[in-house]
Amino acid sequence: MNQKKIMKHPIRKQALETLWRRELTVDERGRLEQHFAGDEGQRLFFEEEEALSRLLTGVADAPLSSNFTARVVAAARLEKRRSGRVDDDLGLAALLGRWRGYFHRSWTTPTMAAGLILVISITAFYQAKSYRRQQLAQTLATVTKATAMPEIEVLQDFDAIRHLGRVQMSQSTMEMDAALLAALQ
Amino acid sequence: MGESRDNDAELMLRVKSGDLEAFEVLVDKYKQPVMNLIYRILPDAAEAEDLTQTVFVQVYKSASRYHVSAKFTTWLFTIARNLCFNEIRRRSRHPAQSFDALTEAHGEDSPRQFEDLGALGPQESALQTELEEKVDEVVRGLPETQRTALLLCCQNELSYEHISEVLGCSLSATKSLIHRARETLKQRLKPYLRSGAWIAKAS
Repeated sequence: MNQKKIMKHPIRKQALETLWRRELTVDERGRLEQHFAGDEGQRLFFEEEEALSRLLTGVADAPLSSNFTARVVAAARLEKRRSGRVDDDLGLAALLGRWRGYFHRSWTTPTMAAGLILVISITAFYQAKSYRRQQLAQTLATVTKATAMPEIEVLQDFDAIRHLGRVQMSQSTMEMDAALLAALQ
Repeated sequence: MGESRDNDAELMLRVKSGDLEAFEVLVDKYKQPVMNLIYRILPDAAEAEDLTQTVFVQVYKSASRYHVSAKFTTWLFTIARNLCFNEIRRRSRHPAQSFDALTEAHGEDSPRQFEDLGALGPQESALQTELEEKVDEVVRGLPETQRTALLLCCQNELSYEHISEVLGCSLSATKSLIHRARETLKQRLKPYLRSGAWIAKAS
C-alpha cells in the first residue's frame, strides 16, 4: 500500500499517526472502518501497522534492579550533602577559588593587563604634569626674587635708557663699563 | 496526560526546593521508560542501568535550572539522550568489551533476564522469546535518531512535538524518522508476520 496515498487523506493520516503512538479507541476504529469499505489493501495496511505497534509496546521492559530507586535517592542525598557543604564553605577559600577562576578565563588576563597599562599611563601623565608645574612655580619664584625694581630716577632718565641700548656687546668689559658710566652721567 | 504533566511539574518544583521525597516519586515513575530507552541504545544492561542512575542524579543536580514551561518528560529524555551520546563518544575513544557481551559471546544467558513466561506453554514462550529477541535486534539495528524517535513515540507516548524537541529537529522530520523506522521494522520482521507470530503476539 502506498503510504503517500494514505497520508493525503486527513482521517487516515490522523489514524495512522495515532496508531504509531497508541491503540485506537473503539470510536476511532469505527470511523476508520467506514473508510475501508471496499478497500481491502488499506485494511491490511492498517492491520499490519496495528500489529507492529502492539508488538513494540509489548516488548518486555529492560531489566532493572529492585533497589534502583533507593540507590538513586542515596546518590541524590549524597549530592545534596556535598552541595550543602560547598555552600557552607563559601568563605575565603571559595572566594579565592572564584578569583582564580576569573584569572584562568582566556579573556580576563589580556583585559586586566590592558587596564593596568592604562592606569599606569594616566598616573604617569598626571605625575609629569604636576612635576612640570612645580618646576615652573619654583622658577617664577626665583625670577621674582632676583629682579628687583630699578631706581625710579633711572626709569625717568630716558636718555640713559636709550644709551644703555647702544652699548655694544662685542666691546670688552672695561669699554662696556666706561660706556655705561658715560651714559649715566 | 495534561494532569500528569502538571503533577510532574509540581513534583519538579518540590525537587527544586530540595524535597527528596518528590524526587523519589519521579524516579519511581520514570525509571523504567528511561531505562528502556537507554538499554536499546547501549546494549549492556549493567551500563544502561548505571547511565539511567546518572540521568536521575543529573536531573536532581540540574533541578535549579528547570522551568515549568518545559515539559518534564521532554527535559528528562533530552538529558538521557545527551548522556547516551556522551557515553557512545567516550566508548569510541576508549573501546572496551563489556562483561555482558562476553557472556553472550560464550552462549550464556544474561543474569539480568528474569521475565516470567510461566503463563505460556513451552512452544508459545519459545516463540515469544524469539520474537522479542528479533524485535530487539532489529530495533538496535536502526540508526540512532530513528530508534530514539520510535521508542519515544511508541513506548513513552510522547507527543510528536515533544519528540521533535528531544531530537532537536522539525515535526515533519520527526514523523519521517518514525515512518522510516517502522518501514524497516515491517520489512525485517516480515517472516514473523507471515507466519502469524505477529497476530499471535498481538492477540
